Amino acid sequence: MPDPSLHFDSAPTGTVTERLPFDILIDIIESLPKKDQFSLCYVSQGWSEVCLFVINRVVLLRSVREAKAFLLGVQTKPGRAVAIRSFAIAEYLYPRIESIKILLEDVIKLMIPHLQHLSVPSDLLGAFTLHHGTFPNLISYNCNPYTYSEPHPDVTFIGFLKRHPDLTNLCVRALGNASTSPTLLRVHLPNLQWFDGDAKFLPALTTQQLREARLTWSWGDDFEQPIVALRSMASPGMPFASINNGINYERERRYLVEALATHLPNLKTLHMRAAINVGWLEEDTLEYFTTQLPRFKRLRYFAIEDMLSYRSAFRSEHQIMHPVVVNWARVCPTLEACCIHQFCFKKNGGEWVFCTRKEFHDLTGGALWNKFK
Amino acid sequence: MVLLVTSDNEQFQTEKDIVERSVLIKNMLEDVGESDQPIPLPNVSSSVLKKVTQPSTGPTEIDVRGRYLSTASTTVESPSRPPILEQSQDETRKRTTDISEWDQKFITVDQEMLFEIILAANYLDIKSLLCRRWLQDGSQHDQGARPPEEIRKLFNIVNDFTPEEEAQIKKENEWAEDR
Repeated sequence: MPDPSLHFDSAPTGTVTERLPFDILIDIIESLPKKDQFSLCYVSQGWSEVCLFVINRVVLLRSVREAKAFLLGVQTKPGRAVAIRSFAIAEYLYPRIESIKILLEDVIKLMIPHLQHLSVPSDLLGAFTLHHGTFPNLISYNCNPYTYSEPHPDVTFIGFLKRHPDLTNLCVRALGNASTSPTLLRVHLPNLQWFDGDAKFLPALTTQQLREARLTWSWGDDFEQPIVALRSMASPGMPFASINNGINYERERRYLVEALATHLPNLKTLHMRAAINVGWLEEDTLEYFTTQLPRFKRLRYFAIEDMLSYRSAFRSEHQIMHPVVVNWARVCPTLEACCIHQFCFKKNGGEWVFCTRKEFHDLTGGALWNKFK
Repeated sequence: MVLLVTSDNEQFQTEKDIVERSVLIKNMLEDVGESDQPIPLPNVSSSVLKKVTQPSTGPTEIDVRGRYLSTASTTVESPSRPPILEQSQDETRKRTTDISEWDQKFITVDQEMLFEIILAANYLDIKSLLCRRWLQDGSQHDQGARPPEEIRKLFNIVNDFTPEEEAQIKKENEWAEDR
């Protein structure tokens, strides 16, 4: 439903259309194919405004030229900002956005009352918005990259999050390898269900119903503290944890697994993902998981991946991995499906059979390779 | 069968599975349970309800892409439901631009009635609003959109854009077009 305060500079004209309430018109336009929506934009001034209300609901800007034209349009007709529920700028655009930074900050201010999803780094929000802005309807914030200052997370950013206690989804990812340091800053986000980002940021958050955590680790990170923080956030058990290991030293990976097994033994889905090409898993690595998996009492889906896990899987190689998975299922009987790089297996009538990565993804409830929502 | 009573006090006996496409009526039926009590529809006139619920001499089947398959001649023995009740929202989205004779008559003959039907469909909470097909149907533009000038003609809309304004809108929409 449109906002009751919605005002269009000119109403759509036409024998039937001029008499229809805006909410019905918008309902109609929403259900039209995109091409027809754009066609309607060029029918008349009034139709244009109503159609833009629909088209501008979800905005993703992908080039500086497009961004500038769009932002200028909103700045000229501020009423258009009312429509925008989701606003994102493509990440690759951030380094090139300096020329329209002030324009962007101005338009973000206009969006404050209605925005629900925001995907713009904090340092592009503008000083006013970052220090004082409160988006009353914001439920999802993607701050990637987050520019760490010392001490981090900084007071300003935490202050921004504190003003948004309704957030359910949060992404905080640092630019490069920010050094770690303990923080005394905390923010309580009671509704947070989805966290994606730096593991070292996790201790700054408190919540009780986190369902998914996608943690990225950097060299020198403390493994224990974020996992302990994670334990306090998910009750009774964390349904899903994805571990993006940017280090991939065998020793660190083992620390992580041990910390998880100790503090989150009730995980339903565990996704270990290395940010580099690991290659074929060594015998002792596979054996290590065989010893650790029994510690996860409710584990149903287990995946180990590296950055090349989309490589083709040959049936002969599948057959090599099959006994490994069967062995894991023996020691961890709750397991229902496994993914080792490109090789996926699922339990089918007591037998372990090959399956596609898509099937594996679906079995996990579509959680595995989801991007930030 | 369900008994519906319109704003002008006419009564309609209608098949339950047809009227249950209306969320409003479905909820009412759930509230009253098994009952012979008539369902009052104070915001819908009999002429409009006829359009919404009565079998038409229109198409009978929809193929997997949502197009009507049959012709009017096949509907004599097997009267169809009006399209307003026939399709789910998803099906409506998938529809191609084919138009049935029934639709064409429905859409182009009586704009006043069309207006009433839209309001009724909104009141009855029928997701597959016929009006959603205004722009897709009645058009032979199989792949593309109906051009703005056709829409203007259909709905008697005056183009109040200057060429510069139109170009400006195009520029502002560039981020979203062709996606």
